[in-house]
Amino acid sequence: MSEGGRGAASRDRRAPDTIHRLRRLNAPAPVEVRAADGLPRTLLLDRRWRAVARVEEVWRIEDGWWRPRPVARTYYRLLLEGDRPLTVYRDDLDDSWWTQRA
Amino acid sequence: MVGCLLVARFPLACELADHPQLAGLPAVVAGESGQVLAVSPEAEGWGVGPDLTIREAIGRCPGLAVLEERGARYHARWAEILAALERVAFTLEPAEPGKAYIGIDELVPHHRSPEGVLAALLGCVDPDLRPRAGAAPTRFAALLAARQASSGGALVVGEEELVRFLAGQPVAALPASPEMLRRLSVLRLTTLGELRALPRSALAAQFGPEGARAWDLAWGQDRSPLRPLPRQTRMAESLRLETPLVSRPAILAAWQETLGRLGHRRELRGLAARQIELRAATERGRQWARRITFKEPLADVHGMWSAVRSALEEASFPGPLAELAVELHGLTPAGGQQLALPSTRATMRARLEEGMRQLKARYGYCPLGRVVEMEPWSRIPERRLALVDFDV
Repeated sequence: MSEGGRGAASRDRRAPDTIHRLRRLNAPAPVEVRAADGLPRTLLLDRRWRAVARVEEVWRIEDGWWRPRPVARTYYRLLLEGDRPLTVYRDDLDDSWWTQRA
Repeated sequence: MVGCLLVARFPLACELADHPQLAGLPAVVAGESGQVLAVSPEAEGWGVGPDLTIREAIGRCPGLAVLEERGARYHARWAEILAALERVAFTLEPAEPGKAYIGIDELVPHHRSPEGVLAALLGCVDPDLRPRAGAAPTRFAALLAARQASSGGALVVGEEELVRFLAGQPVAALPASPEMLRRLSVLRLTTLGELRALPRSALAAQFGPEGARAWDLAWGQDRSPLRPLPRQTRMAESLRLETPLVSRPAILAAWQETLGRLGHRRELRGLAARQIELRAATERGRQWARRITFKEPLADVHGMWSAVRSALEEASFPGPLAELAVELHGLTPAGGQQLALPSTRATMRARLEEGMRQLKARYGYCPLGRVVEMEPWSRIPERRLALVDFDV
């Protein structure tokens, strides 16, 4: 997102623009994942590696192919050890992993 | 001495700057009515002119590239150029988009020569627009000098060369009606030298005041002073979005936030605005603009929002919006206004505003926000909701 600068009124010159932003909610956060056969097996959360007990659902999203940064993600709804639910996705363009509430 | 900065065929120049692959090809800009708005020299070679419809133009030139008119885009580019010129020149008279006259003499001491002044003026324009500049003792001669200059170049015509320079110029360069130009062609008068060889009274008798003026221009006698635009105080605020907005509630919230930030600027205290200009751009560069004049100068952001909200709710945007801007024009000292007696709502609002000011002072930004739906139907979770600063 663009960061803002301060604008000013001028009696003789047009005031420069000030750039502001809307803050997105539910932005994804990076996470370290060890996968096997394309499925996440362990995740590094709270400085501890946690095993995936079950992969409950897998779905894929592709959007904005015409944009400079298209979206191509594979989402996994996981049940971690201790019955902790978590949703992660793999960015299919750069193979990075992220957590997000879907 | 008068300078002229010229970007010929300005709408087409803007389009070719955005589509450089069309340079050297026959191209036109099509107006909303289906008429040709601007023509490239290559298209003119096929017989395409501004008096044709697009269908007729394509009939004459099958390989013609037709570009859609983007009026707000041209206006924005011209405004950028004028703003840059205002930082360089003292006396600036915009004539039309793509043409501006500048007082040269007062700038020579700073730039050392008229050529230096023209180079500074050319530096105010994106080279992709292929600007030209000319300087001469008269406005008309300066325009002709600019037309003769090469792309990105300048031509200076001194006082002693003026008469000889004008003599060789074509009659078609005169700012005359098509009928007068046609009749001059019938009379086989092709150059200004031939035209001014006739008595002024004869031209006035044939063509009226237009003929007399043409004679004056041909002799370099149009020494009217430049009429600079009155400087207006303006203030602007803009918002750039990483994800373009589609839903109407999100767009309204973004506009309201942008207006709120502008309205709460310290510089605006004690001032009221007469007009507000709303501008937006899609991610593909399509522009939208609307200027609204208030019934009376407004200093209150809520009053401004009430005035523009209905226009925004009914506006038809050219696509998902990636950038918004709000600009206040005609700022004037705010006069006193008869207020209503304080109400509970107004008192609570005042307390809320004071609390938020204290939070801002404590954290340096407003930590309060409100959730706005952006694209609630989106499959991408982070595009569904956004947090907007709760500026009251």
